[in-house]
Amino acid sequence: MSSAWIATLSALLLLWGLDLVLAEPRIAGAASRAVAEVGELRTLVAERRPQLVLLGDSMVGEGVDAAALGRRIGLRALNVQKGGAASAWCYLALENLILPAQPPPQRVAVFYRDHFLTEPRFRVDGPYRQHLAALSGPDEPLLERLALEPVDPAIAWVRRGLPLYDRREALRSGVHGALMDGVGAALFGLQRGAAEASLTRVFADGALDPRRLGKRQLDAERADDDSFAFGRDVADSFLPEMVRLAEEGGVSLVFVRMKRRRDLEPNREPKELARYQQELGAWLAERGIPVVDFTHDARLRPEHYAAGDHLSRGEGRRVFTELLAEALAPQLADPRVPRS
Amino acid sequence: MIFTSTVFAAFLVVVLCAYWAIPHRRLQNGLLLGSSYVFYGWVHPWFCGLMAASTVFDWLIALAIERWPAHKRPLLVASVVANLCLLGTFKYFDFFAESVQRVMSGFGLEVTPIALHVMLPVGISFYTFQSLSYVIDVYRGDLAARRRLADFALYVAFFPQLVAGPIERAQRLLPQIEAPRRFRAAVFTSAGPLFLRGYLKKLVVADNVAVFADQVFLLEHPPLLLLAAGTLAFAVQIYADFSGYTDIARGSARLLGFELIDNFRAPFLALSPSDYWRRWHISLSSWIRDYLYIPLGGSRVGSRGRFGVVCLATFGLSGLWHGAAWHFVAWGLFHGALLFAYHQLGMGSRWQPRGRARTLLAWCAMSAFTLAGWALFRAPSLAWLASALAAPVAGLGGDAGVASALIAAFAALYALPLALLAAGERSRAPWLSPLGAGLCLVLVLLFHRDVGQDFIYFRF
Repeated sequence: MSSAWIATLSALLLLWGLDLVLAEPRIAGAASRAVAEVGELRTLVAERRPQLVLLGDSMVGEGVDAAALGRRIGLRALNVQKGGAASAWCYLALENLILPAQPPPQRVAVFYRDHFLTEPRFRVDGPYRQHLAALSGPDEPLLERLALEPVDPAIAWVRRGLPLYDRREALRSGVHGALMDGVGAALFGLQRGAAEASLTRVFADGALDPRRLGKRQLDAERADDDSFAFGRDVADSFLPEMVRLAEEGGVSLVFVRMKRRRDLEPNREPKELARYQQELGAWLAERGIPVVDFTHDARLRPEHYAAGDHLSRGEGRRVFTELLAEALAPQLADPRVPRS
Repeated sequence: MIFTSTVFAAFLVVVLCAYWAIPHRRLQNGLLLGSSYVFYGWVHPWFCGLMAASTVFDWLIALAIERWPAHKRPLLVASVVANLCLLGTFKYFDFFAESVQRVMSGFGLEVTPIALHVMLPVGISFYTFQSLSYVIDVYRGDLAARRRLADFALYVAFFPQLVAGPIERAQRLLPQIEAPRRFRAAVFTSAGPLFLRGYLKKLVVADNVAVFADQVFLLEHPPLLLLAAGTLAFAVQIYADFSGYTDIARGSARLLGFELIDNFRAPFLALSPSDYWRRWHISLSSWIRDYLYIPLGGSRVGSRGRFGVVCLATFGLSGLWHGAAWHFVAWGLFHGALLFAYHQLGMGSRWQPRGRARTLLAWCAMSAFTLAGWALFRAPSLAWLASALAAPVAGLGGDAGVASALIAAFAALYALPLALLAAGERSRAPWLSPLGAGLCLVLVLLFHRDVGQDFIYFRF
């Protein structure tokens, strides 16, 4: 038998052997930490029974003081955020976390940046995949079609033939977790998870060079930034389904566009993006959904920003929470929504 | 087009099928030339115009050198100047303009910086050096100028090694281009392991370890210990990234019936600076040696001072070749100083330590120097590195100590496949290599990152 055949056969045997050992349902391959995080969010929603949910990524987590906002507008508000969350995560959170809550919140403010509302594949790979898996229901055909099914036919082929392929992120984080726990215990006598927590603290956003972090963020996003056109992209995005689900669940939506560090300099917003926002606003307005746009709000100044697009936890958060309360108040002036 | 994309896989399959279906060498070369330009201009077609202009110019210069030997010196100077202008415009203009502005403002003179903000054409440093070496070889009489532009153009643009080397010499590659090539199954089967090895190094090792290295060099004020761990991770990353690229390049070339030089010979085992440069980026270091270091006098210059200048100039330029930033120059100067110091201590190019203890000591010293060099290379700026080195040393405990140990452990974890590859290459067990290939395939399928990084040397 030739070497090539032995190599192929040994690879196949190894892969299918691993597949048997690590057998799990396809979408449920999330690492335990991601599952635990979703569990915590679910508990939080159940305990706080929010009337207003602020849904988004770490820009919401860093930039909005939900308790202060709630006091200011007279509603129980809660941040439901995940660092790095994009439209797929927001869709799943709305579908599987917010709408099933008892009682469901009356309002959901969805925070977004640029054109990422209609970019269903943005941040669905790598570690993000685990967080999506943790939020997924048993069957997610829309997620599968819009975000998970590979565009690349070769990858699609590998994925079909090798179910283990979808769980490789969980496999990698399992190996990483074991190494971190092992090193932490052997060299520092740390308990499980403590070494990883140290690593997270050392590389917290605040410790990173804000200028280079911002550049890296922009570079990473530019990779997904080939072209965008609202009219073309909206049908193949989670947006229509989010609107439908909210309507069905009796929840009012409001969309909030965050100001990015880029927009601290006037006229930095690309023309295509301005056009996109107009079309998005019109599309949402047709459905009676308001949009609040902070992109050109001069009251958010450079000193309010920390790393990248994040607002600082002190003054940045205070100012933005004020501005948000001011902007949301008219949108929330719906007599059907009882005040707390 | 990048080697890790499925577009490249499809491109290679199409080119291979067409290439081996053509019976005639010249037609094969024509196809290769066309496909090399498609490969190069895939994202930015205008890059092709630049490369074509540079190719035609150097081809004409070489012919003119042969035709009018009495004027060969000015002709050579014209080629060198033109190639350096090309590099100067597209790679170094903004850097020098900014540096001049900083110097002027240091003297209290405020000038408005002039910046071109042009995009750096990928691979420009590689093909310029390749083209230049051809002209110099013709000038020296080591090589006959080629009459056929297509052959020379293929030498410059040959897609497997166009964007990140190895920098092939005309004396090696042109004869292969001009010779008939026959399809042989054995060549195909020998290319497979090269591809697997390359993809394993890039997709499994380099892309994974890069995540940790990048985080360290993104810190605003890294503790020294963490800087050391991050540098170790970067050393693993850059070796896996670049040697992985070379393996894929060699594999692709072999499928087309060409043999490219191996750019690496276990550089982590180097015992001295001379030894290191015989093992790391061999095609560049030998280029620098033959066209810069030796013409400047090399180690045979009379005075110690002049030898020091030669070392610093050669390596400083080599550093600048890597990128338009002062930390690259500092990296080159550091290696130049190291070479000079070793020579002065009697540990020149032929030096070998005697005994295991001395060998181990020499290895430890050289590894530490190499790592220090990588810190210079990877640092975002010299000021950043200086502030990191000046920071008070934190203890082993605490978050920074734990994070440093973890980063070093991740670097070791991802270096493991490299060690296994090296061990596999030395083993003579016939079953090991196919089994290893199977394991490589599994690792590539399961441990590649969805969002990988470009090859590091694409930036140069």
